[in-house]
Amino acid sequence: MKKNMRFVVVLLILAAFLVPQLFAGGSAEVSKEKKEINLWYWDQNADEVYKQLVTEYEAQNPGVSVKLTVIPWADYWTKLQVALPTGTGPDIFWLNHPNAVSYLPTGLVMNLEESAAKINFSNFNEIYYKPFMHNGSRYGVPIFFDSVILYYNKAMFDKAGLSYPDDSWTWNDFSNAAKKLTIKDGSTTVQYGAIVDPDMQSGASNFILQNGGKLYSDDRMELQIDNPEARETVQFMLDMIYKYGYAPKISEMREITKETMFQSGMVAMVTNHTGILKQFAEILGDDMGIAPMPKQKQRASIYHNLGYVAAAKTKNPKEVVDFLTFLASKRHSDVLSKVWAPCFTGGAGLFFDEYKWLDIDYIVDTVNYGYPLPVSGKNAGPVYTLLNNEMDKVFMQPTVGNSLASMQKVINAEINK
Amino acid sequence: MKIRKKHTDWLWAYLFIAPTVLGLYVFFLYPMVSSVFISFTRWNHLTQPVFLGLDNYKRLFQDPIILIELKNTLFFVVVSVPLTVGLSLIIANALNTKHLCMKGTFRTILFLPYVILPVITAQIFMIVFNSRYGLVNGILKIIGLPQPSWLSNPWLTRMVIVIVTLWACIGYYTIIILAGLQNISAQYYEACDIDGGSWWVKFRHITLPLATPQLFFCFILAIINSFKMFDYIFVFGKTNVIVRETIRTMAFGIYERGFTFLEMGYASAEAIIFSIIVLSVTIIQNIGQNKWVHYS
Amino acid sequence: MKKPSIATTVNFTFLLIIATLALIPFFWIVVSSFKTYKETVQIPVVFFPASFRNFDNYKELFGRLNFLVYYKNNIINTLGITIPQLLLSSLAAYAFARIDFPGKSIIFVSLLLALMIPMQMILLPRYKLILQMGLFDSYLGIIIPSIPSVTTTFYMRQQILSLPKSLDESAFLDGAGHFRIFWSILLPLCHSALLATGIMCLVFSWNDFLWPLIVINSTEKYTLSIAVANLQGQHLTKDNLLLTAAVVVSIPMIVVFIISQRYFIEGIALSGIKE
Repeated sequence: MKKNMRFVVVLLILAAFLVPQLFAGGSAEVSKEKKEINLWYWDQNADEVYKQLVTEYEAQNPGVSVKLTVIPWADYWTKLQVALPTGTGPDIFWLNHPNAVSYLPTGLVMNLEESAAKINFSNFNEIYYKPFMHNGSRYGVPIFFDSVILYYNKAMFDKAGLSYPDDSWTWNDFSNAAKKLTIKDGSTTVQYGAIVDPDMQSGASNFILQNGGKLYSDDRMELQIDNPEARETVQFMLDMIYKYGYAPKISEMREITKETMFQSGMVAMVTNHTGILKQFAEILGDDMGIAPMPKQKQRASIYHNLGYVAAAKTKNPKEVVDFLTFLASKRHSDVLSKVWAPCFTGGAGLFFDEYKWLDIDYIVDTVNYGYPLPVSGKNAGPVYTLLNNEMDKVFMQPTVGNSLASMQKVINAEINK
Repeated sequence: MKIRKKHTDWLWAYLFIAPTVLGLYVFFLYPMVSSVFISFTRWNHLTQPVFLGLDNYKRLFQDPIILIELKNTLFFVVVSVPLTVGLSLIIANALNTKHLCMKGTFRTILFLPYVILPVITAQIFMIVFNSRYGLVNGILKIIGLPQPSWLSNPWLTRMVIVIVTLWACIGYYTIIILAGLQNISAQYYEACDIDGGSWWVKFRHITLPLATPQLFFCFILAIINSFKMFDYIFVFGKTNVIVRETIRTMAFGIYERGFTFLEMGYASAEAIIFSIIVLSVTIIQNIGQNKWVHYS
Repeated sequence: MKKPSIATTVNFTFLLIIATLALIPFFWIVVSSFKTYKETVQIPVVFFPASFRNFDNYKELFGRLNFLVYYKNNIINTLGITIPQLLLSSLAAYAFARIDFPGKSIIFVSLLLALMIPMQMILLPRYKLILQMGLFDSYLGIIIPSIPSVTTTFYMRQQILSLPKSLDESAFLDGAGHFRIFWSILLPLCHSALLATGIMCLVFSWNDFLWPLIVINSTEKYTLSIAVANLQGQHLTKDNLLLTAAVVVSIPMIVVFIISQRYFIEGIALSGIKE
């Protein structure tokens, strides 16, 4: 009996403490006078940036309260899809190229053309807001961009007595260097010269374009990857893996992830996007070098950027447009440059100042030969996932064969679903 | 008198079950009904659903991938469930021994894996089974056995998933069964001792029959949980797309179709068929319980 | 009596092996929580960190990433779900186990249906329900749909079914109604079971991820599992933080379990029948 009583008393005390909490958190704690703007994003690295920006904005606009919500990347789209159509979603949220294709035609995203003058799109290069356009109207404010470059490990190059990669490099130079940088210990490879990777952002598509190959048709409604230049490219990459062993097999690379392989000194060169510059620099420090990717028939580098879009059903359209204007301003760009390279023209300079000890010009140059992320004209999100899956499969065998042809068929079927 | 009592009995019963049953109907079964409606449409979350009639179901029955998923799901059920419940029974029985020291410690240690978030568990075992520097291959190297690339082979990956599921769930089922074993009166065992019975006799004729209510629960739950097997396919399949397509289960297929490929209608159709299968298996078990479950 | 029998020794050795296997991965997590990010991405794998006094990861989690708030949220949600669930499910279990009422079997089987549909399929309808109830972005929005549980009801039903009916009958003859029989007689005998299922419910709601993610929009109401998921970035995950988070998230549950060990009744539990 006594045990029971004690138990009940403990329960009551807990209840007395917790129950008020339940009801405290019930509804919005914002006083009714303030207009609330909800901003959703998926990368915690932006927390500090937004905290500062929001503090400044709220100080200048006392009638507005901006609420920040960071959502795990893996579930961002799930949550968005559930919340947005019901009107309980964000007022402003991050969008990327593939999902822009799916979201813009739905009427759930606010058309920014009427506010275009206020937001001042002229501060951005057209290539950054074009992917966020639909039927000639602009829907998104560009945030930050990344392009693909070649990262390499200076220490390994020094050890092998090789000169560093530069903008004169061709595929031949790349391959030769990889050969000299591959170190074997018996039958295991202890150090790989390079990573060649099917990824459609930071891997294969860059090489295919460098060889003059085609990915999508001009209207992006059809994948046309089964062309001789692409086949040649893929075979070149496959040979590096299977014939010569300068690069790890796909499974091995995915088990460890290519970032980890580069960071832990297992591989001398890797093509990756610039968003990861900060992390690589933190780990490798002075050993890290950057260079443009090797050219073949031309230079090519895939770029990608995110955009702020607004919910069409927002309760506070005027305030949202005003905040978007702030997000398109130089001030936003300056604060953002602490973490990423902003799309705001000239804004990237501040970001790159951090990395003056690297050959930063190479990154800035990529704008001149940048190609957008290979995104289809319809059903882009699922197609992009499938594209990466199919390319993975292509890379799992030593010869190209018909794999690009079958890949083309599968993707085109998915586009037209 | 008796008749009135019966009706008051019924009233009590309905009152007692009301919160739970109503709650489950409102928050689980009603949404399920919505799912049934969606399964007759094409819907990608963002636009309005488009009515398709039975098209999704027709497609389901002709889709070869669905068959693969069904086979894989059944594989995991048939292999995981007996292993998990059987091993838990043995461990629970071991924990129930008289005069065993460190019982509490063992119970705690066995429980630990259950506490860890699945995403972390998957992460850890990715490292453990890593072909180059994983713990398992490291040990195999020392012994001199070949070190396979675990996650590049469908059958090996299946094994890994079974092992990881075992590791994570054993604690749960062991505790459940143990609670049941502890309810078995020691008088029975003492009587058996007097009659000179061996440990096998005790196990077979006292422990096993009297633990059947809990075992039944474990079987039902284990079967339902292994039908729903999805997290691990997702994580362990990331390494090798071809392996993932070979070992994919229905639960994984439903998730992928609905949320990665935005075909909620088709995914819902698969989910409905899936639920029907699981329900049938459960009903069969429920009927069968009369044959082997002993209640006091 | 004092010398351990063969059976005991065999059992002990067996348990020792199993326990070691169970413990190894956990050992890895704890050790890793003292590593720097650089140490976690090393290949060949660094087993022991350079310094066991490196609490940076913990500092980061509780400092910058505000884990204390999420702890509070978890406690609110978990207790808010578990205690009502145990009470209401046992009540229902009693009715299913002891009273014969029309529709019993059908209702019971229909409950099992609730276990079978994958959660992702019912997210949106449930979310709309919560919106209509005005519970969106609130603790109650997480708690209320999670209280009814098939597993707990089912388990307690099994437990009550295994208690002899003679207990009921003697109480009934003494003039007790159904609630009295349930509360004063049968429930106390289910201590172990209540504890076992209570802990399971505790862990399940402590780790629950998808539903809280969908319901909650305010970061200050996030649960620990959401905070952990946020550590996994789009391109890169700081593994050292992730594994430290694993430790931080698991510890309360382990502590609860250890404390509850005292209440697991050893040996004979059934002593209700006075012959």
